[in-house]
Amino acid sequence: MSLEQTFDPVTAVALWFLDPAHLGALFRATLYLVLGVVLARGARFAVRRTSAALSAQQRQLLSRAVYYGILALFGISAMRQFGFDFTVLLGAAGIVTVAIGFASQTSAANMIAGLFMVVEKAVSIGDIITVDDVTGEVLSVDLLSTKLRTFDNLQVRIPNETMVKARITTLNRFPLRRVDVNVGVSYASDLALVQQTLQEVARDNPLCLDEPGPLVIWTGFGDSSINYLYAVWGKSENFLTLRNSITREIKVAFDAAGIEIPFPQRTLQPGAAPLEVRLFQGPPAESAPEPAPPPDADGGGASDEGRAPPS
Amino acid sequence: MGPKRERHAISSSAPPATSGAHVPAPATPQGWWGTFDVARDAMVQITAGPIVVWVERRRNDWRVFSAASEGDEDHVARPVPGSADDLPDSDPLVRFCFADAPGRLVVSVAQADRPVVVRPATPLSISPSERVTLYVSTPVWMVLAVERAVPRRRNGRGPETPQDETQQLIELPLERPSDTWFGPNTRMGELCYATRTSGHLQRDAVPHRAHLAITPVTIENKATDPLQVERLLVPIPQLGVYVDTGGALWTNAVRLSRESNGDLAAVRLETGVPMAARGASERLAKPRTVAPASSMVRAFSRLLHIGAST
Repeated sequence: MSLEQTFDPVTAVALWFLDPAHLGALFRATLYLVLGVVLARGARFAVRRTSAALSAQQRQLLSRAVYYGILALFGISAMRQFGFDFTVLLGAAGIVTVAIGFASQTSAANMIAGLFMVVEKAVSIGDIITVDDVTGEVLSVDLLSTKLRTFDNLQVRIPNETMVKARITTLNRFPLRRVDVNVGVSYASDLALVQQTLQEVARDNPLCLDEPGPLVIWTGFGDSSINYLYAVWGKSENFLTLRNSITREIKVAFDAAGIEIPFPQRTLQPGAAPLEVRLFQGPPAESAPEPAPPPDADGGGASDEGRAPPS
Repeated sequence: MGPKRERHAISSSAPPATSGAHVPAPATPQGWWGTFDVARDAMVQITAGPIVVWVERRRNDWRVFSAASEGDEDHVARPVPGSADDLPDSDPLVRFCFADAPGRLVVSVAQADRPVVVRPATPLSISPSERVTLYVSTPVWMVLAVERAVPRRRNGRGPETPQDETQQLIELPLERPSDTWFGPNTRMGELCYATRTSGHLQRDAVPHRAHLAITPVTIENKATDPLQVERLLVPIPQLGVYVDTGGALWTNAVRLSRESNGDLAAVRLETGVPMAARGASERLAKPRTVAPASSMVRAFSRLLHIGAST
């Protein structure tokens, strides 16, 4: 059986590598690749160790650029050992660029948006942000997307193009935050006592900042209550603790001071004629006068319903 | 010079697991701090101003309990040997575990871990070319530590020999002050503690309390306009704590010199025993931090109105 008859691709590749000249190329290419990986890892480690002055995000970006840059250079050198000529690729670069441009418009837009985000420093790793209706901690700002970890421990990937267009609220950028509580008190309340009680609640809570001081702002006469905006300041890290404790303490202080937090109330006006109300205790007496028995009255049982006299 | 420590022996009310007769704890002549040799299953009860702390030694751990003091806040407390019946019903605040719990407890005093912003009950006005000394009181912290022998090599060579080492367990504020912010706006500034002062100008008028240290703050107004002091920043972590012969706690004195119109002042921290302290004083705690090289700081907040921002 001749060699041509037994030809197959695996054999061809094996024979090609068995050629002493190609064996040398294979050895050199492998050497380049191994050296490239070792150098890239070493450089990445060195960048991480020596860039303490940079932010976590900048450090991640720089270490990735160094790592993949070195890998690419050594990869090209390894390919050249097998005779690949990259000048051909350069010649076709224009055509390829146009093709890639059409094929990856979205990716390119995300990539450029990612660069803008890095330059602008819109968000950083570790920030707590709200984008649209998603709130979470920034895990990474990558070339194409930003990844968040929500507080229920889900990872959300947001394309950078969306991030650039969206309204981003950073919750922990500043050291202080304000807790706003809407408080309603009954119309019978002593409003001076209400204000004094709220000030004392803030004073007695150690997490509530003495300065900036608490704010008690009248916001309106509501349907059932006189409404105030009660705003206290605290350290950003204590925001949730403060919000939970201050509301509990308001309730306790109002109860102690006899200040009512009213439920919604409605006052019914019967029109021009006064509303006649009768109260019965126990079964109605037989002799009780019934000036206007209702058409559907069953004639027994106590009733506290008021009925307007017939007009 | 480190603090001189009274040393007491505390045995358990139950039969002690370790040898040693019951030795009643002598009263601490000055305050609630000191060093205590505590037998296994015994404890130390420390009443210091508004707080009571129980520290119980078990076989493998130290347990710390705390509760609000029911008595007069002003009295200086004394550590006493206690029994399990005296412990509060609540769970321990914290437990510190050891293979074999060391028996020596060190109770010491520390200053607040942040600067304190003092607000006079009534705003003060200091006329130009005047110098006054305000006596302000700020809460101190209780530091609990144990002494234990740790095997170490001298200079990293030779055989290991046991050396005494103090292992801090916990720091407890005897009175937790409210947080406050000291800075030009809500973005820039420093988190501090807030306290109020009656603005005593006479040393003898300052009440002596077990949980408060007195800081003499001398303010000199060299500017041409009166200085309205609404709030005052006292760099407490940079001050040492002392006790005088009467048992009152003091810190180093602070001198604020307002050179020109504005909120900035040159700050000088006095070293050594405060002049106002009675008789021979003893240092109980070193400063937590070293004062920065620049002594010009924003010490007054007359122009600070960030609370009005909505």
